[in-house]
Amino acid sequence: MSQKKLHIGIAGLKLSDALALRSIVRLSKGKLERDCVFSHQDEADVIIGVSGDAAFNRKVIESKQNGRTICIALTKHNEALSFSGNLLQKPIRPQDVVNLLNACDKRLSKSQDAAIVEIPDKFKKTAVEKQKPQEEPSKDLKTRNALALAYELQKETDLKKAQDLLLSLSGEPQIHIRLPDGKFSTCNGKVVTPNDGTSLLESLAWMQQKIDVEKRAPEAEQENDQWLPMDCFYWHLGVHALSDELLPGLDESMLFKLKRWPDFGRNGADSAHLKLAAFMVRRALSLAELKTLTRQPSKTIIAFINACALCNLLLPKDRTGHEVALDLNKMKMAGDSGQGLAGVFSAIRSVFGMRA
Amino acid sequence: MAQEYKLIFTGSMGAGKTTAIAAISEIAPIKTEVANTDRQAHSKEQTTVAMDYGEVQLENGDRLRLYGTPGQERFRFMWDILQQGALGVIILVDNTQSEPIATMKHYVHSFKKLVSCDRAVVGVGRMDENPHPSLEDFSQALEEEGLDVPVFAVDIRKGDDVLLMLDVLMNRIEVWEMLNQLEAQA
Repeated sequence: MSQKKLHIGIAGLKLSDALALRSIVRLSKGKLERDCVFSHQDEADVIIGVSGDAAFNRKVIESKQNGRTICIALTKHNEALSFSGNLLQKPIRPQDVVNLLNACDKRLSKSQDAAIVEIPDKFKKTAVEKQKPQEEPSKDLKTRNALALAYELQKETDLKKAQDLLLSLSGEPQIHIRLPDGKFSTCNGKVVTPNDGTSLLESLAWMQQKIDVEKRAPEAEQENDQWLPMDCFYWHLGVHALSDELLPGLDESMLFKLKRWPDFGRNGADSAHLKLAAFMVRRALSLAELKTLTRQPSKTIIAFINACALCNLLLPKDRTGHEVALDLNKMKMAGDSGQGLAGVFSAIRSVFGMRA
Repeated sequence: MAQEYKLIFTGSMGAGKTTAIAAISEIAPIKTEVANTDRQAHSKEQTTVAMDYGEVQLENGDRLRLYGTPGQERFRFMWDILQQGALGVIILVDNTQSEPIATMKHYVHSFKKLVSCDRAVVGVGRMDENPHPSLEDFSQALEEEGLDVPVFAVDIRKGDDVLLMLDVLMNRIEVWEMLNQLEAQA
């Protein structure tokens, strides 16, 4: 049996199905080739989800790019699916789960072995490069384009003109913004998933190209248009494209506090963002303090601060000397102490597949 | 020894407490429904008496017990009993009902013991059907009373949205404990 555990992530499953899976995996321990644990989607080797669910679909796209994750769609008998990968039929039968997970284990081990053993040294570098996920565009370009777009949108909003904006990428209209109403919709019938903005992110295409902004007279709403508040757009722009540096007007010497919690119900929640919000609603903190307290990389914190600033949720202030500094050397993360509620929170997160 | 923890779902009649518990409970929720005698407050035929109950068995053997408070005012005496020793409270508001902000304030004040130590979250349902008052209006109403409670737009039928509120609650409690400890040392 391999040492490393097989990490299973779940995406978009009904809780009853997720719990059934957990029970089956727990009870099938002796039949599985490798010990299995349930983890957050981002850390999983195998993702089990529902075809059509935005988070699952995103994982399918990622798995095609990185080849390191296997996606399994849970499906009802005879259900017509557009998904062409591995399927797990409902009702979930223990033997099916065991067979599928063992097959996944074999496939993953094989691909690892191939990477380690079969590639001669002189070709290793090339092979590794080929296996790398699709390169993100140059950070400078991404940041520059996102900043330019954010600036343009804020400027047009401030002008308070009754006009619409059409954002186009490579000449293709992608996003329709109704400035007076403060809402947006994607064009060409593409639907934005409110929780994770999947289609929106595809439209923004990681800011690889300059996005053209065209101003036009307000247009009548189409029946099938799905409109979302602009804050949802700004949120995704901030967290996905503005992680390199703080927005102009903000700097690392400042303290950052939130007016209120971002709407994670609509924008989607990331465990790092929940933690950052919990700290920043309670107290004004510097970038360095946030880094120590949350143990998150600077990029995550910067992107979060920028997204909050774009959504007008941020209260930046200069350190005046009146604030009592926290002695972070004395800090004990709740999880470090092993006392109090840390244990039960860890167990609750584990049973529901949440990340701490 | 296995421990037991209590999570409360509260809110007006028809706000979705029973649905929220059903969305995350490992067992079929135990409902104690009777005929609704307060049709002015909500038109539904049945409502919860005593409480709804669901539970989740944790991997370490502990148990998370989920309680839904009775919606009708005549069962209000039970709220104090329920909030003793609770992990936290999830307050549910239906934005299509009349005066949702006043309703939220009512529940926030009723569970002030938990609210005052960052153990509360508000979920506003059916905002797509009725976007006003906005989330900002809800937050502002709380700020005016000096209360800090996160407010989110949620679809209570979705397990993910219920888990989001639970996750926010846990993060708030962790941060509250950590900052209190650090501030006491400073």
